[in-house]
Amino acid sequence: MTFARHALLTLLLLLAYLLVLVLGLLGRLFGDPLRRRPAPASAGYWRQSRRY
Amino acid sequence: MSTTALGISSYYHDSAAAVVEGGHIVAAAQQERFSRRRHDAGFPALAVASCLAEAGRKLDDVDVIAYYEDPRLKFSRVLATYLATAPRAWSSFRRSMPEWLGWKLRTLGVVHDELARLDLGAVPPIRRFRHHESHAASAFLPSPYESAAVLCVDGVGEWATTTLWHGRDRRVEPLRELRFPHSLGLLYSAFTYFCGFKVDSGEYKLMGLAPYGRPVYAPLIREKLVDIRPDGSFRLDTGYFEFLYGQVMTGRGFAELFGGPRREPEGPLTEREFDLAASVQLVTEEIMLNLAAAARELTGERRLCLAGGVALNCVANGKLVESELFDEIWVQPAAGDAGGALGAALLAANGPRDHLGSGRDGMRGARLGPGYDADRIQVYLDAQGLPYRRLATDELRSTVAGLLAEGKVVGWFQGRMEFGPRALGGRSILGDARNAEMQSTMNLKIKFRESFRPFAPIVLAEHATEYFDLRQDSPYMLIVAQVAEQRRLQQAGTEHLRGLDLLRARRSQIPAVTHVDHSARVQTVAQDTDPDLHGLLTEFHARTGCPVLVNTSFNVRGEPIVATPEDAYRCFMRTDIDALAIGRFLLLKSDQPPWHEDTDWRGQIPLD
Repeated sequence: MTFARHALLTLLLLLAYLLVLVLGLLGRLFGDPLRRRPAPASAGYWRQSRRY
Repeated sequence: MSTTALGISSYYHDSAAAVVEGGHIVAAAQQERFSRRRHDAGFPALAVASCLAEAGRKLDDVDVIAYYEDPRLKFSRVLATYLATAPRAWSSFRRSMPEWLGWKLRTLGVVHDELARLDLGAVPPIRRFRHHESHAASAFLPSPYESAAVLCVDGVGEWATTTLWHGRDRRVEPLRELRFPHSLGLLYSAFTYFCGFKVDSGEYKLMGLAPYGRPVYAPLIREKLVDIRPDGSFRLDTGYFEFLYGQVMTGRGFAELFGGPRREPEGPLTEREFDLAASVQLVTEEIMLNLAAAARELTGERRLCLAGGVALNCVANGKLVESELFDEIWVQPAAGDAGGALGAALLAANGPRDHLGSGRDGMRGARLGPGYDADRIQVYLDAQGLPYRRLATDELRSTVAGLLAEGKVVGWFQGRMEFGPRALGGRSILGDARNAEMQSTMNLKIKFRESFRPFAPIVLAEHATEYFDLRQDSPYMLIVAQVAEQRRLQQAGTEHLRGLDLLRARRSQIPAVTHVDHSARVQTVAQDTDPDLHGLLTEFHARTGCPVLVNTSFNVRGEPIVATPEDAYRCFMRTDIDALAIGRFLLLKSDQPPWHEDTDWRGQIPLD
């Protein structure tokens, strides 16, 4: 891979990651899908499966 | 007319292929056996070619290609993880994103191109199934049950990590699921990593290590790492794990919780690792029992089918059997991702479950890989100029039984190769289970692996309960049972032994296969599924009064199980195996010409 191509790819990845960063931080304002809060003692964590 | 489906799993670990015609499984094999790279994740070109050859088919004869997961859905999980963890996961993002955008997002197109390159005919349409749907199908459709509860538990596929299903007739109906990052498989892998073993392959070692320790960390794991609910569900506290961020499983928080940094790979094993293994094993068993209870309640079924990598935890499976939550359980022998290829093919073929009337499952002893007839074996042996004896079936059994009774170790290469991680008598190394030295001999001189690792017994199915407390058959070596009380020995002066010193005690009449807690990973051998192995065990029983042998996979540490006669002979000559029974041909080590290799082969096989 040439230096120019490598630099361009890195720049594109950085821009993409910047987008992920912004979207991620915004997303966290509305709740984080990967960090479910502990459920109340009487509840569980199952999700209803949908039909494939 | 029945549908012929070619199932494929690839690009994570344990790539595999399977051919199904109607509801009949014709062939299945893992790529690693042919490429000789353990857990090979590449496109399974060699496995595809082998399965098609076994089936006598070309791609033109195949109606549909079935892929075992949905790459786009998986990408949505990867992306969501980056969104949730930014900016910490930059280095992982930089590595994985070019791959995803470059080719992984169009995996089905890549699979099409790879198949076209095989030059075996036109590539039929490709269908994709969900990762856990493939697991569920592989668990239920070949099982011997008309209907059953189905439980799939693994690390992660797309989003699902744990799923409950109801299997009826030809289909599996999804009921409940838990999603990434809340994963029992990843919890177990985190401890595997922390104890210095390789993730996705060292989990077996951790399970084998557990009986040396005490579960003193189990309360801490329940309090800090995993919130277990009475309905069977659970949630991990992701603050203690690093797998969300990139390449490692655990970090500083985990180390602080368990009194210091992780053990270095190949470093000395201490009481902490023994206790960690015992603790996470206990918690895993508790969670599996809860999940099984949930499956029982949701479906009302009295039989349970299992798949997913965690279903290879045969100690937990044994606890499930013992619990009597279900009348019987059946575990897919290729429960890991390789089995996904089979499940996807079964879903795509959607054929009748004709095996149900036979009282047996549809896996045919998992002997679904390539076989070698006498002519092909002889051509190889003659071409190499190797000294051998060609024997009649009875003579071969009798000679090998005699060698085993003398304490010799025998390579046993018979019939078709197994599908799944266990050697079940097609590509096995056998020894005398009564021999107290056999465990250390096999570990150190033949397998070149860690001394703590236990060996598994094979036993004549009709004599299994005389030696093991077993409530049901275990044809795939996936259920651990206790050695029967009447076979155990109490050796005075061994009560104080701890850790690896426990190995010094002779624990039963079959010490080579009795783990330090008197457990054994049993394989029951029935006459109708493996007449060759059954015949050998019968002969050994007649000679010695013992219907049990040691059965370990025909390989050395870090190497895939042997596939071909060439692989078998190489492994035979590299190790202290005394004799090789390959088809009807018997080779004695003492007759063989000296073995020479230019380089040290041990340096070429990466440790597992």
